[in-house]
Amino acid sequence: MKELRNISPRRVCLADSMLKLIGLGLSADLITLRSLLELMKCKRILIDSYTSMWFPSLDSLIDILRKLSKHCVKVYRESLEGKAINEIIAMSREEDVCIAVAGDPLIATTHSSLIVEAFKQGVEVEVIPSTSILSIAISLSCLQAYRFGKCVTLVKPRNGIVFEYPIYVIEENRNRNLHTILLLDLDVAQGYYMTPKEAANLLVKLQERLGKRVLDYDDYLIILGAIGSEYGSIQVLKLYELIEGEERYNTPPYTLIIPAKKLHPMEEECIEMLRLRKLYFRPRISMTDIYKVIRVLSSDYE
Amino acid sequence: MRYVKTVEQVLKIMSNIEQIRNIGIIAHVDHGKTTTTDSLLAAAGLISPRLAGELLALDYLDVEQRRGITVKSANISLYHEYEGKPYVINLVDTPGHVDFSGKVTRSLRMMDGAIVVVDAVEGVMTQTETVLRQALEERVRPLLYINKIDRLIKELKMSAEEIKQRFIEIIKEVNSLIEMYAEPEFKRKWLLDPKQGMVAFGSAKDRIGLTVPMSLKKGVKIDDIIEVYRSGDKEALEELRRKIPLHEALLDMVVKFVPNPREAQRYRIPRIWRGDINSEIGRAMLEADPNGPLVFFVCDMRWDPHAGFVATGRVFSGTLRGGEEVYLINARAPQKVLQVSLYMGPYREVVDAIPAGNVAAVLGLDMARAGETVVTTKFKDVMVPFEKLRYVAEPVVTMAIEPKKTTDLTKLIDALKKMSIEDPNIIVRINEETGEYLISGMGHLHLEIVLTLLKERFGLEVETTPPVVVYRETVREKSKIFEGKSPNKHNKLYISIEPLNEDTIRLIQQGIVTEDMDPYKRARILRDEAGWEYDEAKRIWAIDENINVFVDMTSGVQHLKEVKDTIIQGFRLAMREGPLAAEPVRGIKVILHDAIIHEDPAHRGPAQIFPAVRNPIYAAMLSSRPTLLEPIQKLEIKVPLDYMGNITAVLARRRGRILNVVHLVGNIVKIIAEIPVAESFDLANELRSASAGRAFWGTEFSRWAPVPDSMLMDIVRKIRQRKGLKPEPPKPEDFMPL
Repeated sequence: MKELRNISPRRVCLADSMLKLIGLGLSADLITLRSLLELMKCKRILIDSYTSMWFPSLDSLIDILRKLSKHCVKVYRESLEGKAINEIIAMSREEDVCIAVAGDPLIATTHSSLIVEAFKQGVEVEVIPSTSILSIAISLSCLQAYRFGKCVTLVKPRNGIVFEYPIYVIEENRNRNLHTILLLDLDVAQGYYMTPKEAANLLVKLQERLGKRVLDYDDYLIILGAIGSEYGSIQVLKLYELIEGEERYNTPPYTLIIPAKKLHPMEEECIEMLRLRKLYFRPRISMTDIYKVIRVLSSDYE
Repeated sequence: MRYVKTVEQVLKIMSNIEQIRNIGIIAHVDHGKTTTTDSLLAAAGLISPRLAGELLALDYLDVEQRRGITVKSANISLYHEYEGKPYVINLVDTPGHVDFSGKVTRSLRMMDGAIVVVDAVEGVMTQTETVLRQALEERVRPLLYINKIDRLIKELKMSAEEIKQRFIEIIKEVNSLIEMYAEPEFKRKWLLDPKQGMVAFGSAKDRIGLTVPMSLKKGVKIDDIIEVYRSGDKEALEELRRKIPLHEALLDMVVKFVPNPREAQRYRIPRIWRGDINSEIGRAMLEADPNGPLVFFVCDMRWDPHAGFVATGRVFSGTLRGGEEVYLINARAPQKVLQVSLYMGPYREVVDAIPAGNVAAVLGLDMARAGETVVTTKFKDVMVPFEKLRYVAEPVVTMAIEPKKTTDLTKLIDALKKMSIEDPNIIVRINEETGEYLISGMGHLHLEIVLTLLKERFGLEVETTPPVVVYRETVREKSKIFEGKSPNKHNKLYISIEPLNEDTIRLIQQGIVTEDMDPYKRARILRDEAGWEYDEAKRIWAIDENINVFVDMTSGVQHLKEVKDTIIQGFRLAMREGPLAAEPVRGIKVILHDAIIHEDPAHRGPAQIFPAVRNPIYAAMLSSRPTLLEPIQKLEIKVPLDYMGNITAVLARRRGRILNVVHLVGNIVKIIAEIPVAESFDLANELRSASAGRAFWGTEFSRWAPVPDSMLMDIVRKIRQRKGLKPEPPKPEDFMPL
C-alpha cells in the first residue's frame, strides 16, 4: 500500500515525496476525514495562519498535531509567498510537505502560485479540497446558487489608498440581477476584522464618491459571522439598519451577501422568514472528538 | 519721537497701493548687501544714522555678526518721499550666505523688485548670477547698484575714464544676464538703462550714492565723487553724504522703476500661482484687492521667545486683521490670527490691519510652515495653494545629536523642531532602529551654525557624531525590461529604468516641472526643453522629491487604475532607499510597460504590490551600471598670493579641483574650486593653518557628481556597514522572481 511508505523513513522514496495543499474547512465540524488523515500522515506541516480563521482555533489543532509529534509550524505570508516558495518546493523533494489552509486552499485564498511552481520544478502536487466560505455562504443564504455573480473582497482603505472596485462588481452583478458575495477584509496578524457596519458605511461612502446609486438604504443584506463557531450567525438586515445599529457582531470573520435587486419568490420568502426566525448551524464536534478521530485513524495506519 | 510718527505715516500710506513697493537686496557674499541695507535703515530713522555701516541691523543674531554673514532673513518697512509723495517700501531681507539658497528663492516671492548689489572691483560673481537668475524666473524686476566705488580709486588707482569704463562693463555684464534669463516680454523693459536712472553708483560704507537723473538734479557728477575720494577730504565727503545720500539714490530708483504691488501682481500671479486667474480669488489677487478674500503667503517662520512663532509673508489679496479666523491650506487647519504687525527694523510694531500688497508679520499661525497659503475660511475648499516651494539646495550632511544632559532631551527635541520650522533646510528625523535624533543640513558649516544656535538661543550643550555625508544612487545606462511579481504571484509588473537626462533633472529641480502641474503643460515643456516624446511625457504618474519619474506606458491593463496609487507609493518607497547602499535614488526614470493585476482587491494590496514594484526597479538598477552620486561643494577662497601654493595643495589632497584663479586688488587671489563634501570635513582648520589664518572663503552646494569608480565599492561597503547591512551590495538576481 502506497500510503505505508511513511512508516519507516528509510523507505521514503525521494521521487515519491509531494507537496500537498490541505483544506481544513472552516471549523472542526467542517474538516473532512481525508484532511485529518493527511495531517496525520504528513510529517512536515505548515499551517497558513494569515489568510483566515479556523474554529474553535488553529492553535488547538496545532496542539493536537504536536502531541502526535508532527513537525507543525504556524506560518505567515512571508513563509508561503515570494522567495519562500522555492524553499518549500526544495523541502518537498526531501519529504512530503503539507500546507494546511483554513477553508479551501484554492478558493477564496489562492495558493495557486505554489502549485504552478511545483509543477514547473517537477514536484508532484496533491490538493485536498474542502469547504469554503464561498459555498457555505451560499448554502446558508436562502439564495439560489445559480444566481451568484462575481465575488469580491471589500478592503479597508489604508495609506490613503481606496479600492473602489467592489462597488463596480456589485453594480455589475445587480445590473445582471445576480447576487454578490462580499468578503470583508481581515488582517489576522494585526487582529483586524472589518465589521459589517464598517463595511456598510464604506460601501455608502464609495458609491457617493463615485456618484453612483448601487445600493439603497432599504436594500437587504445578508450577514454571516463566524460561521462554524459557536457564535456563528446569519442575519438579514436592511442597509440603514446595519448603519444605524450597533456593531452587534462580536465574532469575526464576516461575509456579506448582497442579494440581487429582483428575487425569486422562494428566495424572497426565505429571506423574509430569516428576518423572523433563526437558521441554525451549531458546532457539535469538539477538539477532543477530533483528537479521538485522529487517534483512530493513526492506529489503523500504524 | 520720529519713530512713532513713522509708524503712523507708514500705516496711512500702506492702505494706498500705488504708494507701496516690495523689494529686496540681492548680492554676492561680501559685496555689501548688509551695509547697503543699513544705510536704508538709517534713513528711515529707525536706527541711529551714525552707526549705519558698522551696526549690522539685520544680522541680529550674534552668530551671524561674529561670522559676518546673514543667516536668517528679516524684513523692514521703510518710509520714503519721492517728488513730494510719500511711499512705503517693504524691504525683504534675503540671506547673503550661499549655503542656504533655499531661503533666497522663497523671499523672492515677496518682492516685486530687487536691487542687485555688485562690488565695483570684483564685478558680477557666481552668486550674483545665481540669485539674479532666480529673481528673473520669479518675475522680479532687477535694478543695479554698483557698490564700493571708492575701492576703484583708493585701491586700484583708476583714472576717471577707467572707472566709467568699469561701470559700463558691469552694466553690460548684468544686462547680458537679463538678456539671457528674463522672459521675452520683460526683457526690453527690464534691461538696465543708466540714463533713466536704473543704475546707482556709490559706497554703502560712506552712505553716498548717485544715479544719472540725480546727478542732473543735484549737479553732482561722478567726477566730483572721484575727486573727493582721491583727495581724501573728510569734510568734502561729509558734504557729499548730505547732498547725495545713498538711500535717496536707491529708493528713488525703486519708487520709479519697481511696479506697485497691484501692477506687479497682474503679471506675477499667473507665474507664481497655478490656480484659475479668472476665479474670484484669482481676480482679487491680480488686482491686489484689499476687499477681496484674504490670501496671505507665508515666506518665513521664526521662533520668538517672547511671542512664539511669527509668520512673515505677503498679503496678496484681502486685508489681514487681528482676531480673524483663517484657514491654512497645507496644514489643513483653521487658526486664529492673534496679532498683526509690521516690521520696523528688528522690531515688530502691532497694528490693526494690513491690506493687500504689503508684507506682514502674524502671530497665532503656529501650524504654518514657510510656504503656507492662508485664506479666508470661506474659500478653504476652492483655494489653490501657491506652488510647492522650490528648493534649489538639498541637505547633504547628517549627524546624530543628543543632549549632554539626558534630562535636556525634551528641550532638545523642542528646539530642533523650532529650528527646522524656521529653516526648512534643516531636516530632523529619528533613526527608527537606534532611536537617535538625526539632523541634516546643507553642509558642515550649516550644521555647525545649528549647533551654535542650540547653545546660544536654547542653552543646550549637545554631543554629536561626526557628520556623515549623504549620497544618492543612480544609474548610467538604460535597462532591459524586468518582471516583478507580487509575493502571491498573482500580480506582475514589467518595468525598465533609465537615467533621466540633465535637462529633465534641471527642470524638476527648478520646479518648472512638478508632479502636480497640468499633465499636458508638463508634457509640452518636457518635449520642448528636455527631448521627451510627447506621448511618454504625458503619461507621467509621479515625480518624487529626489527627482525620479514614474511613467506608465501600458495600455488597456485591467484593474491597473485601482492599484495606481499603490504602485506610486511603492515607487516612492523604493526611491527612498536604493539597492546599492540604501541611499536615496536620484535621477532615474521608471517605466511601467505592462502589468497583470489580480481580480480581487484582497490579493493586490500594498503587501503584494510594493515588492512587485520595488524588485524589478532594484534588479534593473543593479544591472544598469549603478553608482553613487556625491555632493560637490563650490569653494571661493580669497588668500594672499604667497599662500596660494599651500591652499592648492590642501585642495589637491582632498580631491579638489581648481576651476579658476582671479587676481584681485593688491596681492590677493581668489581661487574658485570644487571639492566633494565628503572631503571637506574640518577643511576650515586646514585652510586656516595653510594660510596662517589669512584665507577667507565661502562655500555653496554645487552639484551631485558620480564618485570615482575606483572608490565606489569602498564607499558602498562603508555605508552599508554603517547601516548594519552586509558589506557586499546585492546582485540583480536577488531581486528577480523565481
